[in-house]
Amino acid sequence: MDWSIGCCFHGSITLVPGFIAFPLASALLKSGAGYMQIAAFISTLMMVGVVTIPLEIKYFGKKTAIIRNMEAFIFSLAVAYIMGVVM
Amino acid sequence: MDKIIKVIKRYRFFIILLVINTIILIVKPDIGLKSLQLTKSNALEMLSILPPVFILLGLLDVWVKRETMIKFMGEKSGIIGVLLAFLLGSAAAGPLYAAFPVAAVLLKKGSKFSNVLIMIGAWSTTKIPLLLFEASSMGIKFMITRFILNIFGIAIIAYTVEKLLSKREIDKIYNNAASME
Repeated sequence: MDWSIGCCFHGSITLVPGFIAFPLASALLKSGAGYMQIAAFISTLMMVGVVTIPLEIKYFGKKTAIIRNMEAFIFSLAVAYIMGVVM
Repeated sequence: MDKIIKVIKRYRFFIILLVINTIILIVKPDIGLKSLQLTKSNALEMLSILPPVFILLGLLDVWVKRETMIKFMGEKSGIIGVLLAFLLGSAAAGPLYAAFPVAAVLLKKGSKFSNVLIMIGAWSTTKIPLLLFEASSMGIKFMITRFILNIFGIAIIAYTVEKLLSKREIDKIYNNAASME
């Protein structure tokens, strides 16, 4: 689980198009990464955007942007945990 | 002089990243090159996605009347509004940052705040084109499990964000969207 958090941070910060992220994720899986970590990475990659927060703040204000990103981050951890159990 | 400072301030993140990237390129050429390649693919994606999004937004702004938007996605739209918001977000292609201008137009036209948040949530994670891609590279079970979990996540996030904001804060966001062009 602790590594999942690391993956969450990684996914939150990076801004990678989906059509590059999925092949990368599947390559990581094949080379031995766990489903939990990959799910954490993919989920945060898509839902949390640290790089685009300034833009989000411009449209939604500071409070909304920060709450949404934080909730998405926590939710991604939950998703990762469940995915780790299910897969 | 003031003008130069303004430009530097505006692009400060860009300048900082450029410096960091240059340093990485000198110290670790292979990593630096990879990061440049990613920058290139992101830039190309942005250039190919944003113009069509803005054209469609312009059309949405002109063609869809405020009354129609309020009826289908407004305060009293109920489950139809929720489903429409979800479909609108899922049918989209492109990165999350392209969703913010769309959200602004929806707000401007009188869409309910939680519906806009659902659209943002769906846009971020249940995009149909990307789901197909996910199924092919990660397996169908992975995709479906994540999809089902995400439906709950989108709803929870939209509901709680709306509840955590005061009426005044939401009004401010509406006014901000209305003043944007």
